[in-house]
This record gives sequence, C-alpha cells and structure tokens, in this order.
Amino acid sequence: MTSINPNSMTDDYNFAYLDEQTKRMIRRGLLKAIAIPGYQVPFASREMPMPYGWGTGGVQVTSACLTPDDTIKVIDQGADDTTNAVSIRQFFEKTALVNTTTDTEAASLIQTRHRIPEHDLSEGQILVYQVPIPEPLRFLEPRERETRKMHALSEYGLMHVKLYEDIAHHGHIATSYAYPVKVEERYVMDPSPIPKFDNPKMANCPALQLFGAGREQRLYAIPPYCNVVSLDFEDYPFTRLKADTICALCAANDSYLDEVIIDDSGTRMYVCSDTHYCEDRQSKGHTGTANSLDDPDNVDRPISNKGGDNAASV
Amino acid sequence: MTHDLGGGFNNTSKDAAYAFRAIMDALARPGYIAALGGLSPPDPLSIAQAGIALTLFDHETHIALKGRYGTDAVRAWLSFHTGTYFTVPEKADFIICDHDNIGPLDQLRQGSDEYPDQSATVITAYPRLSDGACRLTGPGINDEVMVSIADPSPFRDGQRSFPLGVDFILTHDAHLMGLPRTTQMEMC
Ligand SMILES: [Zn+2]
Repeated sequence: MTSINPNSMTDDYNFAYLDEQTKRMIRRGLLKAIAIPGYQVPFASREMPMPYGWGTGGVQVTSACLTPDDTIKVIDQGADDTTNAVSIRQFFEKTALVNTTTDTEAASLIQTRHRIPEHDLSEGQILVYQVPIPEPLRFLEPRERETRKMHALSEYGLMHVKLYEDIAHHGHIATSYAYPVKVEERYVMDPSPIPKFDNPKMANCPALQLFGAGREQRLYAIPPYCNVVSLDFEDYPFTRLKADTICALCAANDSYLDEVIIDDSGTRMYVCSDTHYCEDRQSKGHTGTANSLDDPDNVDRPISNKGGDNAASV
Repeated sequence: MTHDLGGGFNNTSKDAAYAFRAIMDALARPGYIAALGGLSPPDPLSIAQAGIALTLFDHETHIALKGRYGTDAVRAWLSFHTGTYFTVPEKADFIICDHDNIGPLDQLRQGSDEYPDQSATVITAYPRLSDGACRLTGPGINDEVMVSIADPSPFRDGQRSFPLGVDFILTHDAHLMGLPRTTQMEMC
C-alpha cells in the first residue's frame, strides 16, 4: 500500500491506534532511552498501516507518547503540506482525536522527517524524529554484534578515520546529512538525515528529542539540555553549512534554504525549507525578491549553478 | 479471603497515556515533580506507584515487592490489573519499595556493556518531594535544580559506572520525580 486512508478507519481503534501492550513495550524502551542518552534501545516494531519509509518508527513513538490534550505538528523536510506529512497528521487526527497545527510554537509534539524547525523549541515540547538507519557505524561495519561491541567499548576511531578521509578527498568534511554527533561525551549517534545545518539545534535544547526507527527497530533519545557535539577535528572544526543567499520569499538569512523550480523554463529560486517559519516571517511583513514584484524581469533572483546543492561550506 | 480489585484506570488507553506522559516528563527532567491521578490502590501503594505500575507492567515484566509492599492484597491487585510476574529484586525489571529499604544497588540488574537498558527501575516511596538542599545536575536539567533529598547515598552507592546503572522514580502520594542514572547529586 502506498498511502493511508484515515477515512477507512473506524472509531473503535485504540487511542492513537497501537494496542496497549505494544505501547507499554515502547514506553518502557523510551524511559531507558532517556536514562541512557544516545544509546539505541531495541524494540519489537509493529506493522503499521503505512509502508516503511513513511516514518513507521516515528509514528509508533508518537503513538506511545500522545495524550488527548496534545496538539501535534508533522513536517516532512520542513514542510507541513507534503503527502507524507498530511497523511500522518490525519492518521493521528482520526485515531487520537488530537488537535493539529502547523505553528511550531503552538505544537506540544512535533513529528519530523529530515529537519529541525527554525523556531526555537521550548520546555515541555517533544520532537519525534523518523529514522531510516539508526546505526551511525553501519556503513563501517555491517554486523550488529560488532557495532554493539564498538559502542560498548566507545571504539569510535573508525568514524573519525572516515571523516578524515573526506578531508583528504575534498579538502573539507563532505558529509552534509546525518552528520554524526556524540551525546553527553559517551555515545556516537545518528541524528537521522537532517542537514548538518540543524546539528547545533540538538545541543542544550529545552525540548525532549525522541528517535524511532521502524524497520531497524530502534529507539533513542536526547533529554532536554543535553551536551550534543558534532564530531570534528582540531584542525578541521565542524562548520554548519550556510547558504550563500537569502530566502526569495521572506528574505531570511538565518534559515535552511531549498532550491525550487518555479516555472516551465526551469527558473530556480531559494526558499526556506521550513514552510511555517517562512510564512510566519512573510505575515510579519518580511518580503523577499520573488514576491515583491510580478514581472519576473524585475526580480533580482538569486542565481546558482551548483545544481541541487544549495549550500556552501564556510 | 477476597481482595478489593477496584480502583484501576477508568479508561485504560487514555489514562495510561496521561500517566506515561507524567512518568516520561519526570525522567526526562530530573527534579521536576510530575503528578498523576484517578486511582485507588490498596495500601501501602501510593497513587503514583500504582499509576506507574498500571502504565508499565504487563506479562512481559518481572517485578519485586519489598518490605511492607509484599502483601497478598498488593499482589492480587497488580496481578489483576497488569498480569505481571513476581520475582526477587536481583532479577526484577521493576522494584517497588520504601526509600530506606532499597538495599544494595550492586545486587540489582544494572545492564551489560552491550545492553545497558536491561537494567532495573526502582519505584520508591519518599517522605517529601519539594525544593530542598540536594543539588541535581546532568541531562534533562537546565543548569541545576534543588530537591528535598536528605541523603543521596541509597541512590548512588553501588551504581556501576555509566552507561550501566539503576534508574529511580521517587513517589509521594500522587507525585513523582525521576532520578535516572545520569543525574549527579550533591548535598549543599
Ligand atoms: Zn523564507
């Protein structure tokens, strides 16, 4: 199946869909994940009415955490209105009867795929990440037994070697998504495929961050106000990727930008990946080049020849 | 003899959802005092201890009742509402006890190097949960928080070094406070 049809569900589903026994198992796992920041807790993932890759791990974590009083926001690559985000939002509207919002600050729980919102998160909020591959060492070592041993012994030298090979090949660390972090000076953790631009937002964050990987059956967590450090080297310190332009819609110079094609002739522009942040700024009167004039010839449009990569290392 | 088995959740799914959120808040933010309600457990179980039990225990858990909690009435109530198994503290996933009866931590499950999550959680009664002279620092805490713990040693002596360890939930009536293995404690 390729989509969720919430209208096909009846009202006698359990609150937030999952059965109580599964929720208890996930809840026990989440408490241990919180007690051991960055450590991957195994859990027995359940079949969900959506395919893997649609965030089944995140959906199960959200389901185990929701109360009827929650207001949830669901984003996919920063946007509230993609098919994936809309489907998951409708799923919880239907099965948990919770309120939904696109407003980051109004949400008590945010489920996300591949972004951290631009607005600062606050105490009491929960950010649930959908995780495809939870093991940061997997590409170095395919065997679970071995990666578990490496975590047990804090054997993270190979990870540093891989990042250093980047430097040898590219002159800088080329890894720009799922950039590994170390949590509370102990566990190396995969932050899910967020851009490394978002990595610093994980550190000392007032919100509780929970991670769920459905296919790989892992839960992990970063409690509020945690020490989270992106791996780097003294001579090659971590750098956040910073776009070399500003948002064409709201003129933000501090947000992560997506390159989008806006007409049939392939004209491109850069806009905030976080759609709520962008709309919020526009509603407060911030205006970019693209929406100030109707005549495209009068628009001082940012130009790039870098293809899909909108960011430059600084 | 028959036991009163009432006083559980009215709406299992929703009541457990609220209770879990209180428990998770407590463990994610050590020093923060959360509350849950709506239960009438048999003595000497507190409302918070009962809420934690009904939210987390089932036929996949093994629990130990220490001291005055080891009564037929408590066992019958927990069996009826959760289906949990009973065992000795050394083998238990959860231990219900008083704060002065936790016993040596090195005899409880503290997990393994590969699986530190396979460790015990102690749900203990505490005489008072409020501001106090014990300073907590660590994950979940913005700088520091002061709580009414009179003596940290029962919670820390015998803990193996992180990531191994035992986690605690302190309870008083309907209130609860988390004390995970990561929390540093210091008397001021
Ligand atoms: Zn914008």
